[in-house]
Formats: sequence, structure tokens, C-alpha cells
Amino acid sequence: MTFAEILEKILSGQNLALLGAALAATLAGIGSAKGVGIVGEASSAMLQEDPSKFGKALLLQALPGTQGIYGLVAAFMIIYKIGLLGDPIELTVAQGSYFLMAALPIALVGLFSGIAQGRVAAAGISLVSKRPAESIKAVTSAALVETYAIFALLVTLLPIFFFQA
Amino acid sequence: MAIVKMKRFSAVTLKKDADSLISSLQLLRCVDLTRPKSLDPESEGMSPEKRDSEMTETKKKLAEASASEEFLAQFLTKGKAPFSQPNEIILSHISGEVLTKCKEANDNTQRIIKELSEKKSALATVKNETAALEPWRDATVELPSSETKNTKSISGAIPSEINPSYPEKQLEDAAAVIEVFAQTDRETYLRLTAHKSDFERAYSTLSELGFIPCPCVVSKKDGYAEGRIKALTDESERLTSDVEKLTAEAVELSKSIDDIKLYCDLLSTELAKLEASERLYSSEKTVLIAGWVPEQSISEVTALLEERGDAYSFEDANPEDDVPVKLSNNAFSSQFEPVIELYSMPAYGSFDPTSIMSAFFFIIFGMMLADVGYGFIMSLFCLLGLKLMKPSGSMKKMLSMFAWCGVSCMIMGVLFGGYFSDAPTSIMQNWFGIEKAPDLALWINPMTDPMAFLVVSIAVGALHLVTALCIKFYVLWASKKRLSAVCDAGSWIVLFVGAGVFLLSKEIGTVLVSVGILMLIFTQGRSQKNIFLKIFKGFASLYDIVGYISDLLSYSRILSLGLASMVIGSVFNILGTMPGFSPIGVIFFFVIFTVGHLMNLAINLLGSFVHTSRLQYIEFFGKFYEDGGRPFEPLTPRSKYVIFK
Repeated sequence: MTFAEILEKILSGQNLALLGAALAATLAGIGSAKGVGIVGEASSAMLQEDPSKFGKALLLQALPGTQGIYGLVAAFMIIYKIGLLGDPIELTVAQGSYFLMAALPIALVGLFSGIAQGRVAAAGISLVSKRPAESIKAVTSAALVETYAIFALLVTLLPIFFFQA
Repeated sequence: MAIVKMKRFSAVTLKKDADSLISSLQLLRCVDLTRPKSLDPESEGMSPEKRDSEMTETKKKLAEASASEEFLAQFLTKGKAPFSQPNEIILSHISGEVLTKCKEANDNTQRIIKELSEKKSALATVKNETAALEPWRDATVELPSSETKNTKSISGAIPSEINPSYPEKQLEDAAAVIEVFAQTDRETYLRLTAHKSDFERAYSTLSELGFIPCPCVVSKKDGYAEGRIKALTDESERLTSDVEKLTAEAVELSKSIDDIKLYCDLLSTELAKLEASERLYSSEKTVLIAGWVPEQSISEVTALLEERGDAYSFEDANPEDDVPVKLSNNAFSSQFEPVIELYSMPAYGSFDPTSIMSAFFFIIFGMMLADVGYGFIMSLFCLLGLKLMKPSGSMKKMLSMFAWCGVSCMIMGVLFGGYFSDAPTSIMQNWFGIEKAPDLALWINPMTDPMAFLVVSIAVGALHLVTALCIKFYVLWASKKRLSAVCDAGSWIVLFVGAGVFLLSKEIGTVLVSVGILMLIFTQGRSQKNIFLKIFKGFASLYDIVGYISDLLSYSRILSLGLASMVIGSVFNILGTMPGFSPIGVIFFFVIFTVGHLMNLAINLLGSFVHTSRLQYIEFFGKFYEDGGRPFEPLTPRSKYVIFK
């Protein structure tokens, strides 16, 4: 089998769509894992001093976790739309790459916004540790980063929703 | 809708009466105490009050009382109710008796804490010693060492990796004996007995192998290790029963935890008073009190001071004074004051935009989270929170604000067709196979007609911006800068209204826009002296149109956030209804539906709040707002657990 033949076998419409789903779940998941990790490290340092602030720390730590969920939602919608959960529909290569491209916004923005949000939230942890009453401001700044992940998810989901087989 | 007018207040009282005056003012809750500035008290032989030692004392007591509260809370027999309503207590009714009772409860708790920790540490010591003696239980030797006329013995342990025969072999030529008493998997317990002349050598041989002498001291009189262990067991039983007794006492005492909570709050209130006292000036016999009082509270303060017979005066604020800012708005708008507080209070004497902002906040928030279901949940939870937790201050306002926002979400949900996103449609399609489900939106469905929704968003934005310019016009006009009002705000208003009218009637619109542009060109360079610069500045001002357009486009976030909450919600609806209509399918649906929509609501609630606020702060306030006001912080009773009336 030549390389070209292998490529031809791999690059089916369905596999391309699956690649999109995989990228959405993986990259956004990595972003969230990194983000949540950064906040977790910062918050354990604070909790050593004052364990009673766990609730506030947890809220900040949960914030960068949403990108992963967005990635999961996008991946799931692709899998659902191409019929992997029921009877699979035949996809042309063009249709498959349609899904792959649709997945890119949440995959990439999820990766970077998750990390960025993690950093903002980790800085927020030090605000909470010094001035617990101001924690809403820390949450607010972290929530601003979230917006772009929401927008990316929107751009990912709309083409998937309006896909015509 | 206004910033409350403040009067500068000062009073002179006798030094011995100062505390009672401050207490009374604290109960009135309407005086923001400051250091007097208008006259220079120090030059008149007055000096700032120093209450450091009392402050330290009260802080210490407060820390103690908080520790008592925390300690007793562990012993509460019935678990703490998640929404416990704080007690309401009338501060002026608290008698010395109540205070004594509270103090007593606190002293008792402190005593128990101290004794309990003593007993527990004694118990730990006993346990350690018992454990250390355990290997020697059967040995009838004195520990750690004993001596006869010619020999010396020492007992201890070596690591179990070392076979006891190894040191024995090394000490073969010495007059030394090693007896092994017990062996655990970590240590071997043995006794070295040697002739005094050889003892040092034998001991050092063992020490090199990691020999540690037994840490306990036991003599023949104690009945060797066994007797000592028995005595220790008795001791530990005694201590354990003491601990139990103390614990029972603590459980009993935890019934009076309310007294301790009251005590904590009384101390906090005392602390607030002391902090306020630091802002007084005193001479040998008199004290000068100064502060700010809202105009409508003057009669209360006057009545108090007349009754006490102190000298006082009220003056108007000078422009250079640092006057605290208090907002006063109607029942609806005042709930939105936290949005302003989160940004910055308006400067004293400037315009309070709360009432206008609250209307826009209400509308824009609703559009960003247009969903009947979400709005209902929000309002329900906020009202429950208000009812059950009885919060005060800005927490209370926040909750009522979100309850109102929930109402807005419900209204917008009906207009734009959000009922837990598209739950009814999904159920109809996936459960009952109805392909053509009816459109639930009364007006526009953003999912199928996002362009129309975008136009509505931008239109709301245009209204918001023109309102901001109108406020700018009003503020400038009211402060007698009429020319600026017409040129800097008026011309833009004409331009924007013209652009709006253009959509209806091209002729009138074009005229208005042209007038606006000409006004800008001719007026924006008026501060320049050079005629060319005048013209240049006038034309350059047209460049600001770009700024206004970017402001306007910023309102497209209403569409983005509104769509996002709908689309993510509809994913959960698809997920939930996918297994079809069957008993298991329905259970699956409820799990996915509840978890998914709650998460979606939480994220989008936060998002909508942040972005609605941002539209107010940057696009709206940016046009006219003067920030930097110091919030009015009257001296009030301070409490954490109870509500002082």
C-alpha cells in the first residue's frame, strides 16, 4: 500500500469530523486542566493559612474548568450530528472537514483561554486571601476571560446546528 | 435619584460623657465621624484621642470570644441549619445582667478549652510513656540504668536490622552481657550489663550501632515496668474520664452559644466605637466630635444633642471638603446600587445615574439571559435567600437586584422564546416525533433569526448611548457650562438622532446628521486660537465617530451572550431527550436536564452580570460619570451573628 492509499483510507469524511470532535475535547480539556491546576496550586498555599476560605477558592478554581466542558459539548454535538450514536450518515470529505473547521474555534480558544483564566483566577486567590470581602471582584475578572470561550463555542456550535446533510 | 446632601457636624462634650455620646450616635446610625479639619484643633491645645490599650484589650477579648464560639460550635447537638436566621436584638435593651451572663458563658468556655487542652496533652504524655514501657513489661529491671558495686547496666533499643549477637561478638573479650527482652519489627529491646571498667567501651560499641537508652525512668519502688504501666493506665483512665466530663460540660455549655455570639457582636460593636473614638480630638476636659450627617437625619442628631445639652453646629460642605457620598433612590433603583459601588461611588455633588442605569441594567440583563425558566429559578432562589438568610447591606440589595433581573429574564424569555432554552421544542421533536414544532417566541427567535436580534441589541445600545449623551448635556447645562453642553453633547445627540431618523425618513435624517456634523466641525476647535488649528480640530473631532461606532458594536455582546445561553442549553435538551420517551429515558432526561441547565445558568448568570455591568461602566458611564466619591460609612453597631436593632 502506498502512502497515498493509506491517506485516502484514513481521510474519510467521518474520520475528519471525528478529528474535529477529538481536537475540541482534547485541546479545550488541556486548557482547562492547566487552568484548574494553576488555581489549585495557588489555593492550597492559601488554604494552609486559612482552610475556611475553601468555598471561595473552589469557586475560583472551578471557573477555568468550563472550557473543558465546552470542548466536551462541542465534541458531543459533532458525534451526535454525524450519527455515531444512532445510524451513521455518509459524509463526504468536504462535509467531514466542515465539522473539523467548525471545531477549531472552541479547540484553540478553549486551550488558551483556559490557561489565561487560570492565571487570572490564581491571582484572584491572593486577593481573596488578603481581602475575602472583595472576592466578587476576583470572580468578575476571571469571568471576563470566560467570555471568549463562550463566543468560540457559539461559533463552533452554530455551523454544527445548521448542518444540512 | 440623587446623591444625599451632607452637612458638616461638630459637637463639643465633656470628656467623661464622650463615650455615652458616641454610643448614642452609634445607635442613630447616621453620622460618619471624621477628624475635624476646618479649624486646627491642635493649635487650640487639643490632641487626637489615643485609645490603643483599650483597643488591643478589646481585640484580644474578641479573638477569645470568637475562639469560644468556634469551640462550642463543634458540640452543637443538632447540626447547624443551613439557613439559620440571625436573632434580632435591641442594643439599647441589653442590660448589665445580660452582659454578665454572656461574659460568664465565655469565661466558662475559655476555662474548658484550657483544661481540655491540658488534660489532652497529659493524656498524650501518659500514652507515650505507656507505649515506651510496653516492651519492658515483663522485665524486672530498673530503667533506664542501674548500678551495683562493680557493674553498671543500661537498657534501651537498637534497630531490629542489627542482630543482637553482633555486638555480643564484638564484646566477647569484655566483661559484658547483653540480654534481649523483646523484639518488634522495628526495634530490639535489650539490656547491657558490664563491669564498670568495661562499661564505657561496651556502651560506645552499642551507641555506634544506634543504641538509644530507654526514655522512661522506672525503679524497683514502682514495681518495675509492669507496676508503672499499671499506674499509668489508672492515670489515663482518670484523665479520660476528666476529658469526658469536660466534653459533657462543653455540650451543656453549647446551649448557651447564642450568648457567646451576642458577646462577640457586643465586642465588635465596642471595637467600632473605639475606632471611631480615635477620630476625636480632646483637651484636658472636653472632646471635639466632627463628622458628616445626611440632611434628612439632622433632626434626629439635633434632638439627641439638645437632650444631652452638648454644644453643636451644622455647616454646609465646602467644595474642597472630602464629603462622603450616600445614594438615595426609589425602591426599585436602590437595589442596583451595588453595581455602582462595585465600580466607584460618584463624586459628591455630581450626577447619580442609578435610576437611569437600573432601567437599562434590567433590560440588557434580561436580553442576555432571555429565558423564562432561568429567570424563574433566579427570582425564586433570590427571594428564598432574602426570606431565609435575612441578609443586610449590599448582600440584601444584590439578592433583590437579581430577583428583579430574574423577572426581566422571564419577560424577555417570553418575547424571545426561551423556556429552558428550547426544551419544549426538543421534547416535542425527540419524544413525540413532531417535526414542525411551533415557534415559542412572541417576537424574535434569536436561534432562527439572529440578525433581527442583533438589530434589536444595537438599537438598545443606541438608546443607551444617546441617554448617556443626554445626561452629559444635562450635567454640563446644570453646572452653567451651557456652551459646552450644546457643543460637546448636543451636537452628538443631533447627529445620532439624525442617524436614527434616517432609517424612517431619509430627508429629515440627512438634514439632522448634516447639522450635527457641521456643529462638530465649527465648535470642537473653539479652544484653539489659531484659525487653521480650529478648523483642523473641528474636522478631527469627526474621527470620534469611530469611537461611537465601536461603542455601538460593543452591544453585539447582547446577541452573543443571549445566543450562547440558548445554544448551550439546547445541547443539554438534545442530550436529555435523545434516549426517547420511556421510563428510563425520562429519568435520564431529568438528570441531564437538571445538571446541564444549572451549570448553564450559573455560567451565563455570571457572564450576563459581568457584561451588563461592563456596558454600564465603559459605554454608559464613560460619557459623563465623575467617580471617586468616598462611600458614606456611618458609625453603626457592628455584628456578625445577630442583628442589632
